[in-house]
Amino acid sequence: MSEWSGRKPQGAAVVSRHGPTCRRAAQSLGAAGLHVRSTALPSELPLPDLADVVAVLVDLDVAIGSASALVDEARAGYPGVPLLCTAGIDARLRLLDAFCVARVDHVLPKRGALTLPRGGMPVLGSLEGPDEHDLFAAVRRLIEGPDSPGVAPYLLSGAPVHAVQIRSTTDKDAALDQIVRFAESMDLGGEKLRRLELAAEELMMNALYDAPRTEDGSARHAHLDRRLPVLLAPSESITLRFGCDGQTVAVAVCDPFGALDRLAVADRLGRVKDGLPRPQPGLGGVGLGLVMTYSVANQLVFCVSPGRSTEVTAVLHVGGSNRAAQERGTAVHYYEQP
Amino acid sequence: MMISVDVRAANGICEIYLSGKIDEKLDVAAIASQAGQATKVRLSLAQVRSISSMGLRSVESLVEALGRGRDLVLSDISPALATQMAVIPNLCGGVAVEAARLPFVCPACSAEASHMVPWKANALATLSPKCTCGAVMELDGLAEQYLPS
Repeated sequence: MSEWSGRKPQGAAVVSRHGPTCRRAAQSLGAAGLHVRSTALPSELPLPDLADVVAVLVDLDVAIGSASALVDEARAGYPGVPLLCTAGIDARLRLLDAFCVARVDHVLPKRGALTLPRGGMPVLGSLEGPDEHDLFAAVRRLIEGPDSPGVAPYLLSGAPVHAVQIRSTTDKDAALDQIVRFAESMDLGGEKLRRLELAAEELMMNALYDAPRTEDGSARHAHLDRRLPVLLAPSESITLRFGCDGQTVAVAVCDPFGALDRLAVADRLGRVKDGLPRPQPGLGGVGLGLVMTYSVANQLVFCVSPGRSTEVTAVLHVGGSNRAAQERGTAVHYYEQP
Repeated sequence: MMISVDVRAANGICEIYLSGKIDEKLDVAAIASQAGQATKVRLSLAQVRSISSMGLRSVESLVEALGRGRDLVLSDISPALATQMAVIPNLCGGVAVEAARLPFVCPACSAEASHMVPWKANALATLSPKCTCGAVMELDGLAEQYLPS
């Protein structure tokens, strides 16, 4: 703990009146070394007894008016401090709205959010608060900086991480076979295997076809028929990392182009809440790869250094049933560094 | 890993079975040509393990090609396609889907099995399969992610 090291502890503010959310936040943020204070009233921000605040967690379920007004209030209380939003009621749509429209970089559904009956009365008591491991990993990255760490932050300490360099379509196919064999060796089959394979393939396809840039910064392969093989220079090699700790499997793809931006991510994910279109006609991408990855992942983490690197990580829970994983929903995190 | 295609035709009816993974490499023209002069086509996709985003375009093209001048029915689909059709309802251009092979789990003994159910909203309300232990099995996933709403 930072108190032992003689450093003044950093803080985190939580805006929620939902008991399980306050408890989860206190546990996860506290475990990350933060001094946590909660309030049910966003008008009380900034909290008087909290110094050096590095994260603010806002429970959108406390919003009486619009969620964006609540977000604005939190931002006004702590200008420039990273904001995390969680929600249980209408979680998928409200969190996507927070990410895409209100530009909140970190959104985490509460556990149990997707089991609420459609159109039914919101019952906060049936929710468990955000996943403690997801929240812990997100806050650790906020504190330590978002350098591309691959999949390690999302797996239990000591879980082996495999890395593969990819330069071509052939490499991509071989890497996908390797991931499938890896998953099958751990008896991951059926929907769990399908979700992992889909996430890995879409992330690698994006890195091979959508990410590469010419010297003037324009897209190099995006227009190409995806049946045409591509070959990257050795200096442009993509790194695929993957690992599993028995409960969670994570796959990360890092390219050296840094071409993805927040606007593009919000545009793609916004399609989920607006209703998905049919695949785009033509020869290039169909515009659904990121959306499909979002739909199979429990966390989708973007770490972008413009012009230098893009890393996208998909984290999937595989310890329980497929239904349990789907019920967790999908957290989205966007980190940008110089 | 690759897609496997099995075509059976008789009496003007063509049955096409795809299994494996559908991606951008699916040879739509070759499959459509095997339907030949058939007036009715039944396309079975229940054994399709995985579909990439590029594979969605292939599925769309295949359905369009097979349905041109023919009576086309998707006799069964797999979870890979069911999940996509649940969020892109017009993916297959309104072609009728009869059934979906979906993952089920037994709440009593935790046995897992896939079962064919009608692909329609609320299909599980009355048609959930029974486990060998006698208990009614539950869909191993959220119904709205596999079935139309």
